Amino acid sequence: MKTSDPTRRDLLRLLPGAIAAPYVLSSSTYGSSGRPAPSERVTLGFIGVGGRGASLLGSFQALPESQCVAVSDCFAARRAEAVRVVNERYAARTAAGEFDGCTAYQDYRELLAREDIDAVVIATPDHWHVPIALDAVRAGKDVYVEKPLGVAVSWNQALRDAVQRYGAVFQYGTQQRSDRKFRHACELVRNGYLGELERIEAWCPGMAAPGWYEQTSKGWGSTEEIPVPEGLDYDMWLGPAPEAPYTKDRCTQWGAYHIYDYALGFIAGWGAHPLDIAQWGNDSDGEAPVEIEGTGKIPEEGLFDTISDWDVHYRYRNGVELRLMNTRTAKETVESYRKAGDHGTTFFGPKGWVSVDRGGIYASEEAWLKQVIGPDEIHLRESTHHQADFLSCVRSRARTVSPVEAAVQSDVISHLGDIAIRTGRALRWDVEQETITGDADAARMLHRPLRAPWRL
Amino acid sequence: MVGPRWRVVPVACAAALLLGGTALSQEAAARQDGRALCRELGRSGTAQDVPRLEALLADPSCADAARRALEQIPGDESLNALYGALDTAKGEPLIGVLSSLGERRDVRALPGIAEHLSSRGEGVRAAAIAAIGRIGGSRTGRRLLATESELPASAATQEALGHALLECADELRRAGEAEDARALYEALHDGRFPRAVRIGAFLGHVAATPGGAQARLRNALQRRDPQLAEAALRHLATPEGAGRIVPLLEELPDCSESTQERFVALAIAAGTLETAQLRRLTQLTSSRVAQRQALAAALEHAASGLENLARGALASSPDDIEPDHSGQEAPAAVDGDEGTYWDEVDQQSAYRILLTLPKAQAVSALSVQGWAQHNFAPRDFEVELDGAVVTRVRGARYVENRHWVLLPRTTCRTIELHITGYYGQSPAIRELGVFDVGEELAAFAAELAQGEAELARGIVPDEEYEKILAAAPAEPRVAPREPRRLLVYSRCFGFVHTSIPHGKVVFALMGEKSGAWEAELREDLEVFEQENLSRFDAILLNNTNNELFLPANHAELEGAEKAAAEATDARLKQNLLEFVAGGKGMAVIHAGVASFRKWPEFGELMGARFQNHPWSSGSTVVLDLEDPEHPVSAALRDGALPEITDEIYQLAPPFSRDDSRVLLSVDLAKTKVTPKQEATFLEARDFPMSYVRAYGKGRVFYNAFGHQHELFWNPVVLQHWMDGVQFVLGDLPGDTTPTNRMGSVESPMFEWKSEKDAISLLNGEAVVWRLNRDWELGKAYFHPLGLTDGTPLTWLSPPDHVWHRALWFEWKFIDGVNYWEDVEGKGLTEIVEMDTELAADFSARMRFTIDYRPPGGAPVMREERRVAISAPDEAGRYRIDWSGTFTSLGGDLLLDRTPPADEPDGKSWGGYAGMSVRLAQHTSEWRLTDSEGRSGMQCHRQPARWVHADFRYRSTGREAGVAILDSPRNPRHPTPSFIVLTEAQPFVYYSPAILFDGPYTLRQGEPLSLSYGILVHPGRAEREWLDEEWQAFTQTEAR
Repeated sequence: MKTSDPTRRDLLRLLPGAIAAPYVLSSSTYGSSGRPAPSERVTLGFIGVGGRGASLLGSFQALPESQCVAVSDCFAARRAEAVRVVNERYAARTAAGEFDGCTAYQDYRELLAREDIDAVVIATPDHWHVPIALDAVRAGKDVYVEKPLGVAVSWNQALRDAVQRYGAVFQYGTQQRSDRKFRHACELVRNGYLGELERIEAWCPGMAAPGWYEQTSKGWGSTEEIPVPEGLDYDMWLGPAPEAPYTKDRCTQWGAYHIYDYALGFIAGWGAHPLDIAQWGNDSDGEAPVEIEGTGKIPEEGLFDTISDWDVHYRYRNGVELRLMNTRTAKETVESYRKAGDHGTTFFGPKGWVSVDRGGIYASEEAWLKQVIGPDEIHLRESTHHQADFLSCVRSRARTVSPVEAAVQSDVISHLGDIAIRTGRALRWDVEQETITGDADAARMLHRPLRAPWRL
Repeated sequence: MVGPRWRVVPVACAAALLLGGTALSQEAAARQDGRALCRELGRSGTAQDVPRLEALLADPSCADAARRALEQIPGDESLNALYGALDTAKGEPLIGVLSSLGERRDVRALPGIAEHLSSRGEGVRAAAIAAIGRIGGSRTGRRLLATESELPASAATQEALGHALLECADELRRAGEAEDARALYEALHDGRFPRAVRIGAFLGHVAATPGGAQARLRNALQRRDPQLAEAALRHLATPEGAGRIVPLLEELPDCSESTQERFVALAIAAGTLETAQLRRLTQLTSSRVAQRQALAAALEHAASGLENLARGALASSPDDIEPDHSGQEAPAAVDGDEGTYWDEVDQQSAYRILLTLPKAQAVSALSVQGWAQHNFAPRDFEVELDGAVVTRVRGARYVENRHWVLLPRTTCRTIELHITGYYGQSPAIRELGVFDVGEELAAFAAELAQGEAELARGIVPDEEYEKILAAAPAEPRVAPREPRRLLVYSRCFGFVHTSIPHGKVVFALMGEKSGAWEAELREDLEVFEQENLSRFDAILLNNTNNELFLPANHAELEGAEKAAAEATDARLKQNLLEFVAGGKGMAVIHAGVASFRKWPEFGELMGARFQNHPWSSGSTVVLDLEDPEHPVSAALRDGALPEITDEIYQLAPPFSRDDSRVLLSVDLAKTKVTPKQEATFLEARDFPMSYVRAYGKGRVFYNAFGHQHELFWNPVVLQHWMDGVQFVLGDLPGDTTPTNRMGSVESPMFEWKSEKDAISLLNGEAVVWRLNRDWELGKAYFHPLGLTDGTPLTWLSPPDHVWHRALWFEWKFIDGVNYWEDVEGKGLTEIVEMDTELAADFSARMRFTIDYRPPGGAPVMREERRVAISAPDEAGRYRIDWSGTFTSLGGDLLLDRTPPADEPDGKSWGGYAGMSVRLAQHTSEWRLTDSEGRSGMQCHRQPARWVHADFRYRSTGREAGVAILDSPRNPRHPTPSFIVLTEAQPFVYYSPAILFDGPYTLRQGEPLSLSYGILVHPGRAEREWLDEEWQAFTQTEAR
């Protein structure tokens, strides 16, 4: 048996832990040589790798035109697991069967300081979406941002300004736009198959809608303070949100969805999807409705304090009416014309209706479903894969199927519904100034200050 | 370590102050929660609440909450309060105050904010700069810029300044103060500002100066500054920019190729180009990718006005593959029939799709829409019209997820796709288009195809071209994992081999014919600029020679020109090194090894230098295939190339068998050597003809052939070159362990590797075993537990049970607290101390002290763990002796498990905990046995002295086994086994489950000692041997 050089072995024995991971402080550490222009492969960093983030990681990694090189999460176990999975998947594709090119970061700013990352995928709790996206865009990255957009309308506006200012590519996580059923429904509407559009119904699960999460959110979350678990950077998790005692249900998926400090609840978190389609079909990506009135419920006990059930009526400048409901509220209404699903968007015109959800497309006229949209008719941007569309735009700089302008407006609809319910008043929205008029207290709710040291 | 705790701090005095207020809800007051009160006031407070909030600014427990409330309350009172806080707040609260003033966007706050520009705190400085940028105002930007020289120098400050100035400039532009805005934009173009700011300034500048936009864009696109080209492209992507694309088309030839490709993509995306313009694009761009994009766009354009004949056709799938409905999404072919284009069974050798038209029709183009680009889409297929093959597609390349196939215009009734290769695990066609696209486009496409073919044809005589075409392999050695681009580089100075044109034809044709890669033939310098080089997966040096990156007239240059040429030379050399070191590949034939003779790093990259050619051209030498098992040697096996007639090279140091793996060499014993030749031999007398090596993360292949023209149509040589190229492209796996370091059981090269989180025994690069220490979770476990060749036998954190840590020991419940799963509220372990002894004979001993404690509580139990690992013996076997002594740190502790099914509240899966192993994912054919002659699940819950499983590794066929030996000193010896044996995942787990038949009470002062041996061996094992090993263990087990 041969032995290796004893001197070297002894050296290693004396220095356990001598091999340390590179620790990156700021972009200047990498020098100012300028990075190479985006090659055919887009390098990606993932910020937030919990449930949705991990699933996006899988989707992107399956696309050979991307390379996942870094992840960041406040939960140590999650980021470690993400790195393990990424490296394992890539290892299987390399000739040597080895890969260790993905790095984990506790602080997303270290990830953003890496000059070799082209774009980031943000799937954190909602209150972090905009602050991180802003930092990313300022660092010259393109961004894929999960829905809903931000916890305040003013934050959304700041992000839109920045995306435009730096010419960043932005894709909003409303992947229904990359599904042909939704595109077909909207093209039918846009091309007047229903006659002139009159009204839209959009619905989605609320906090307690029947389904797979009912069990989990029973009791609306514990308020009892307990120690912060090991491996969670709680201060970072809170970030720009107000100080709060840690409880068992606060930093879970459900807490992040249903606590008002971090989200508007599913009126935005799930509502983003059917509203996004409503906006697409109504050709109103550039503006929100002008009149808003609605009712809703908020749990009276427990930690969760977002709107659980709602029924909001909106009217657009073009006269089209929009009704946004949670599934339970919508059930009866929807079942009067089609089999109910837990979410969907329906467009109504004088000639009939078309309705679409992830399970299918339905219409009052069966023939519309097989209608071929002709060459001289309006065709919406065709994307067959939401993540691939983003990567393709990162390379070409073209506009994505779900750009930031559309993201801001559909999210504003959720915000206006939330504010109308919380104030109990009918609101008017000025689409030019993008503010609520005639109700200063309601207008105040369009902004949220950030906990120091975070800022927009 | 427990993280920081946030508390709701009752602020008695503050609350008392506030209780008199008007805008408070009863509830908030009752909670006496200062922060909640601030929050309430932020939502609905008025000017009269400001003094109270101002008072709270001094209270650290809710100062930031009060500051946020002030930000929200409109009016001068709250603004004044925030302004006043600029003098009193420090550190983080001050950052908050600055941000609030920024959000209020009132120019009256500027003087106070500006005082903090010179703050010593970097965060404060950046916050002050950002606040000024947010407020803006007509002269603000200019004033801020003027302070730049006074600001303390730091990267963060410079970055904040750039962003703030850009924000100011944009606001000025929107306010119509274009002149002032432009002045700022111009200042921001400077290289001292970050890349994103420079790009933003360019975008702003173009928007502020519509008249000069065209010229500015033209300049930027042509400049060598990639940031400006990037900025110009970003502008063209905007709705305003789209209108400026057409006038820039003619500038294309002056742009870098990556700019060209992106420009063309944008031009197409803008959707305004006519067929003639698209055609013009293909002439203007030198990039074949861009040309193809333009053609696809033209076809798209034409097809959108045509009927898709596939919609009227009857589709069937005569390949006898039934859908298994395992696809992720509802299959949605355009005709609404789920089965039409959906063969979702993976990994079949061939798939067929047959379309039958209602009547005979003319067909001239097909479009295939894949699942997503090159992920699940047809790659290699034949198109048959009425049963006759009309086109064969190899390595289909998708543009915007669509691949177009031009067909000779044929009137037919059936169209069949016979798919033999695909991206991903199966072809998934979202939509098939069948069109008759008309004469003009067909001519356009033919022109383009002709152009591509001409690229290679015409540079060698026609009959040689035909011979090369015939000799080139029709199939790739391995299917490329993704479309590959090969840079065939033929720049050459000094002696120019006349076979260079043959090399171009060979590497272009081989790629094209087989679909293994797409070659680009280049001789310029531009292609080695980073942004161009990054488009390739590998480089082939085609008989290159001497200094490649200097201009031909380098010797005549002087002064600045000379310096510029040398700077380019240095930059391109660095690009080449980084390209390969970064994970890509380089293949070199013949004289390529003589490139860059004055550049030492090239020798390091090549692992060799050119010395001379002892055998001049036309000499024949006998070859020795030294490494026939290597994948890159495959073409040469079985005496396929016993000798070669060529110009035979001798390589010079740094060539060494210590760092290159020689596949083929001159058999000196069988080759005629003249004394004159002998005189030129170096001492090593080593004449490698083919070798592979690693460089950084990349791969290098060298083959010395390539002087004689006839070698370029020798099928064996071409196949060997193809294998070498596929190896460097990263598609054909090949070991690069140097010849002199090739690990084997006979001569292992063991080495210790000690890191913060792991101690590993390595054999060359292979990990034999690794002991991982997860400090954060307080766990120590083995993974991988492997054979000496690195075959891993364990699985860490499988998706079904992420807490399965390969080979590990864990309790389930200690006094009711769960330590087994990684769940909320689980018990915690902490490695308090550890000690390692790594011996020169490659055995190791470790000692751990591990504390167990419930969440939030003090440790309740301490474990002293000893682990001794023997050195692998000659057969590659080794044993881990594991013992743990558990002591209660307080009263009696109940060690328990999920009760088995026969107990109250029992579960079918109950009974586990303790020493456990989870076998590797890629194994199969497990034979699980125990000491008492049972096998498989019969062993479950049966007492045994040992449990053993051996198995086969699916990919390599390697067999191995792991036994767990139960010490007779264990209190419940022979311990019942806990077994899981499920093929599905696979889920193979076994363990001597000490608590299977009942919990154990660990009494205070009565430590529990457990001891096990883990035996690892290659191959299958028989009962007799295992029994002997168990006996040996009981006698020799390490204490």
